[in-house]
Amino acid sequence: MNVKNNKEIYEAPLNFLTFGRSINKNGQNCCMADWSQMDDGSLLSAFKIEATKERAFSELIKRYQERLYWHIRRMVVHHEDTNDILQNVFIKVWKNLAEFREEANFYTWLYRIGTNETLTYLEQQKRRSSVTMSDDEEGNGLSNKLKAEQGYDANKIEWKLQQAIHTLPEKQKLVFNLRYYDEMPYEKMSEVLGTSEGALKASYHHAVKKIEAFLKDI
Amino acid sequence: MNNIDSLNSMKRAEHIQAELNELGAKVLMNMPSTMPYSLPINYFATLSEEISDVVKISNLTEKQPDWGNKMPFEGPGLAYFEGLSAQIMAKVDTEPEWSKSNPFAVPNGYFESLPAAIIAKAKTEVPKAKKRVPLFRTMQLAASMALIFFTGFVVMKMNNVKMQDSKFTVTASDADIRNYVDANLDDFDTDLIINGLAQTNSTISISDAEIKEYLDETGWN
Repeated sequence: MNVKNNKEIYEAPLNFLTFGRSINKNGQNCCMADWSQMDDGSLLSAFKIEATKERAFSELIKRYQERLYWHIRRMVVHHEDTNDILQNVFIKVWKNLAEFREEANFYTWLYRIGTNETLTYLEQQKRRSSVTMSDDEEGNGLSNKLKAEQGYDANKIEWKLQQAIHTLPEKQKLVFNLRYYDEMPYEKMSEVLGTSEGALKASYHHAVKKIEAFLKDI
Repeated sequence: MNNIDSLNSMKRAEHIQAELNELGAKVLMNMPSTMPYSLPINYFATLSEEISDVVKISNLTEKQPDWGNKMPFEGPGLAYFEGLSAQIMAKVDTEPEWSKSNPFAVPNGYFESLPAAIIAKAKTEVPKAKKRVPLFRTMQLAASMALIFFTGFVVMKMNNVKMQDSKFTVTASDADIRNYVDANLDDFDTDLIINGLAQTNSTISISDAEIKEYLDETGWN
């Protein structure tokens, strides 16, 4: 629902939880504002008003937390690491949301921050481990993390697929995950990763071929 | 720990399946779309509150807390401070003086007059006129190139291909032609060029692909 009368809702001065009459499609006063039904633009407008800032932000978290969580987790494997990165992402969003240009897509922007934070984290991990580990050990790091996961079963096909995905280079892995699991259109992916659609398609095709080969070999 | 997330139960979209099919990825097509990872029970139910709390804390910590002015550690005693200034001065005297001043000289009043000078220059600067290349010169060059290509192509045809039209009886190697061109051909001899072009049109039509092939083969490209 795109709440038409944003002004009436957002400018209510005292208790934003108890005001909020919105107007339905027929122009009639209808119901209390249902935050979960508001579009991103309305929530971003609400974020700019001190009284509704936290409520709007909380709604944005709820809306995107799962997608973003899985986007990160597929890359870093551990839940604890994912949770840390996810919280950092949302804190960054909180700090920078006021400057966010609403004409740009919030969801794309969020994914871009999530992707950057994840890649930064993986880069830091690599640098740390390179001090104590050999190259081979480092290359097997994510694979070992998988094996340490609760419920890991080397015979189960879904774990084999994760093993296959973690043999891919990081950027290719990102492209594969965004397409295969998130079913993201190449156009959006291009905005998130800053790469041309053609290059992304080629990257996805390569990733698919490699994964297929890996799964056929085992 | 909970072993499923809401995304897991989603069926893969048709266009993703179709794309996998196109790629011949039969294994991936038949994979379950479930993620095998586990996560804490009710993790997502409480996440937004948790993050909001973290945000509040980070807001609070951004405001400088009142640290107080009481020092938690003991000082070295009065004697230390009494001798300290003398110690520092003695050290300062022995240190070479590193001047922070810029060693480069600038003309007097340079910076004061710079903005006005730039603005004045910007206002008076007239866009440079484009240098015109005479049309005749361009035509001469183009015609010269065409003649060279044509001559080379004819030689190649005579050397490598049995031509159906056997008007040409000259046999000459690439090297011969190059030598001839170097020694006799004047790039600016208009009559020669025009004659050459006229011959080109009247005897043989050469496609772009053939010219390119010839240039690649003979190393003229």
